[in-house]
Amino acid sequence: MTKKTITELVKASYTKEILNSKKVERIVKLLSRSDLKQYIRGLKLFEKSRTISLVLPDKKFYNKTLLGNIKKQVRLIEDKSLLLGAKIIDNDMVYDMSLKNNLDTFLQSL
Amino acid sequence: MNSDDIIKKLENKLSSLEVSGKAQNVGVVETIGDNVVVASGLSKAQMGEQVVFQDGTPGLILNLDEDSVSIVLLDRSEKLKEGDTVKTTGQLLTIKAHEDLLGRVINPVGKPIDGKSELKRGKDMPLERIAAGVIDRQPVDTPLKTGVKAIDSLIPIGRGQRELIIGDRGLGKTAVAIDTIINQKNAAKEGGKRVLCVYVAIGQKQSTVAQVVEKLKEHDSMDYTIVVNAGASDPASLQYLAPYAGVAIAEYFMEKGEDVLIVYDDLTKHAWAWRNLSLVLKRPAGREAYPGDVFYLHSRLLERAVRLSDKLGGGSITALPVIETQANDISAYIPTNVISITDGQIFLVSDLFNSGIRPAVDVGNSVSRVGGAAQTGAMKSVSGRIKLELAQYRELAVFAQFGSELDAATLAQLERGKRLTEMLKQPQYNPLPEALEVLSIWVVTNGYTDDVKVEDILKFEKEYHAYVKTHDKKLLERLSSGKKVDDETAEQLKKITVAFKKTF
Repeated sequence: MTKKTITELVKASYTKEILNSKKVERIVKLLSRSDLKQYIRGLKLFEKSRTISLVLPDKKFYNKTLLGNIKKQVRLIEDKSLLLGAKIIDNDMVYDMSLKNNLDTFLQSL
Repeated sequence: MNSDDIIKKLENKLSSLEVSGKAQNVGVVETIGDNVVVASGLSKAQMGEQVVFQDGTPGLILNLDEDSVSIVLLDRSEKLKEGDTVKTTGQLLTIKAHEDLLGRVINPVGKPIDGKSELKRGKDMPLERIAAGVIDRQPVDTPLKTGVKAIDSLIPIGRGQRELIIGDRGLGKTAVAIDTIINQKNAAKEGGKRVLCVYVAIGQKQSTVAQVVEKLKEHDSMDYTIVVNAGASDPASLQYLAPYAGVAIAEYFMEKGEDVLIVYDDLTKHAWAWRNLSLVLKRPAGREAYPGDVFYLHSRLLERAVRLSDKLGGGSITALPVIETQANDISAYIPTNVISITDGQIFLVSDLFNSGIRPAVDVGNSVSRVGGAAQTGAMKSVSGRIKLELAQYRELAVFAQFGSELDAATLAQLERGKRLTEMLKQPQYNPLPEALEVLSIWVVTNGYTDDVKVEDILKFEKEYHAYVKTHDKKLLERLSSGKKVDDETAEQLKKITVAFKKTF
């Protein structure tokens, strides 16, 4: 099965932008072992591209206006080591605007 | 320094520090095998960019696919596993170059492997770089003396030239290169511009490299030499990078106006390392399973050997690549590639080596395409005759095998040729200053050794050198200056030779 077909199957697994378990079950039965691997990988990548992870030192700092008007799903993660500020993970890009990052930069410059 | 000073310094540092958010491209390790990692993500990665894995292992991006990248590891890692993160650095691969590197042995990523301290300062020099263009260059016109009579007289090398040393294993290819490095000590003593040396060992046994370093130390040559080593047990990625690391360091010194000699020992193993990497990276294999870009692999490396224009400081990089052949076959794939890239080759043959002619230079198949212009007047005035006489000797020697009756002229020529061949023999680690080379060649080509037994020629040479050194230093100085051997000098040479022969 080609990469293009796998991508189409991944897209077809969604109903109104929500992963449809019944559709997934039907597709999985039709796939060979190697294609299944590709399909799962495709699903993971697709999910990753639709989600933004927001890492905060405390969940109580979360404010809906923080990320503006975005269409992606927001996953909230708490990480106390950030001290202050936030870290945004968008697919394979990581934007680090935390105090920890600033202190690390300062330490490196010393 | 008191506490106030320390706090003030920290405050100053803090005020000048630009602290802002950091954006990083992060990927995930999908598969690991044969020192090559396939990672997903990294959509902003560039070809040849350096990356860092979760455990701190550095890597280099060599393949960009639709939704994954292939990364070669630049260090051994046993902790790396599927699912680990990998970050781009936004930097192409560089090596820190500085004067502190002189006398050190490092690996291709700049880590010292001689047990001495870490090198921290230096300029970041890119490993991959486009070679200097036509306008930035000037013709090769300064000799790079090897101290080997057969090479300096017949196959002269100029600063900025690429001269290949080619031959089977065990014929003295490395010995020629090491002798050339050792001889650069003489070049500095003779009042010329100093030559710094970079010796790049690719895929060699650690013991062999240790021997080379020891020999260089023994001859006080490590003070101006840097050894870049990617041994046989190192990953193929490091072996592939070693010559580029060496030339990056050489470029640092060249940009400062220095003359640099770089030895790549050897490019056959470099091609093997690149073949290994390419096969693991699943690139299409071509002739002898080498990838299609194996020519470009060496051409882009050797093009970086250059003599810069005076406007750019006049520095130079002279490259001595080494290629190992199988059964003296110079028409194999990699040898022909490198022969066509370089400005000439020194071909060493097993027949000569086994018959005791060392260095075993095959004068007929060896050539220097640009070095002639760089030869000094003194050497030029004596080497013209040696070429002719050797060519005549070889031709006559072939015919002499079939007939026993030869006329006197032919016999004389054969005898002269024998003595000339004997005089071109030279022991290892014993490079000669140019003045002594000129003396040796002049004395044979002018017939002063015709009455000396062939087996006594080397003894004659040794004693003759010692005699001239003690009796006529001015003559040696004149020959060292590189000026043409004029009538007056020739007369002086005749006088001292006749005087010496009375004592021999």
